[in-house]
Amino acid sequence: MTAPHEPRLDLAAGMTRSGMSFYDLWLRQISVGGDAGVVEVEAYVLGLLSIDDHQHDVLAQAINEHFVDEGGDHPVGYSIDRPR
Amino acid sequence: MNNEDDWALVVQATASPELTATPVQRLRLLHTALGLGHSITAGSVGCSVTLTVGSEFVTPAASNELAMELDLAQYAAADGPCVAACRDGAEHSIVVMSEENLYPAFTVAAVQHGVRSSLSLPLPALPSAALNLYARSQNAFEPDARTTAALLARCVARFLPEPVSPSQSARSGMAAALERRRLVRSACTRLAHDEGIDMEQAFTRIAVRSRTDQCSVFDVCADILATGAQERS
Repeated sequence: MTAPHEPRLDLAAGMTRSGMSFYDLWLRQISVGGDAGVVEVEAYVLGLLSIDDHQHDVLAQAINEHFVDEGGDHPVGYSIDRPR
Repeated sequence: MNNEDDWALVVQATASPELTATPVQRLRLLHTALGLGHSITAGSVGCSVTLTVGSEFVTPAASNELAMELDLAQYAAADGPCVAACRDGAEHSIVVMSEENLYPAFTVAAVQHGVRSSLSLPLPALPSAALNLYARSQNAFEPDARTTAALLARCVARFLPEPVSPSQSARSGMAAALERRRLVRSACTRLAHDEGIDMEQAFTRIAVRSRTDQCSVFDVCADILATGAQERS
């Protein structure tokens, strides 16, 4: 489990650590109910387009599911984890 | 911006390299162009692009969830008008959805979403790519609409990014992804109903619970649905 004191990763850092391709992330995003196109997914993760809390959480979960499949936990934070 | 302004922007951008120099510029123009797909004909309700990557199909962008859902239905079956347009580089239209027999998986999904006709046309100078248009009315894409759609396709082709590459493990994943998608959406619907919250709030609760419980979001969703079934029995 991710330790409480361990800083949570943002989308870009989580994506880098995962080693996934953006097509892989798009497919995972589809599987968790997301609707963004594959180019949009990449633009959101790279911070090129602004992202709302829900879209952020969908992508965060998609990346976290990769780590869960690899036997890990949920290193990427959700919108509720971000300082307001 | 109204449609005329959007057309002016999109058409100008096809001739002005400085307007398409960056990925963000191209993505924004792509979104604007896909929005124009809703004005092609009365009753247009969705517009998307299909690209072929290896043996897989992807949607780089869609105007709305409806268009994405209809694209995904075709990708899961590896068949449908957008898939056919990518494969043979020809225009594929469905005039009356309920009478179409060629693509059963797609037509079932289309009818369920209230879509009664569609048009997929290949993108100029882009191999194995198509612009897809979906409409609520039958025979929505008459000749004038097709001419406008062809212009839109030429514009869209200028705004697309470099193709992305699927990994080996992802190549056979679309059908499984769609099954999981239905699971998540069912669980969100159940939780939203039970807790009096909206779907987005339901998703966030499920996501956070997957972290708390150190498990997959799909396990959480299955548990939500199983608990609901037990309570109802």
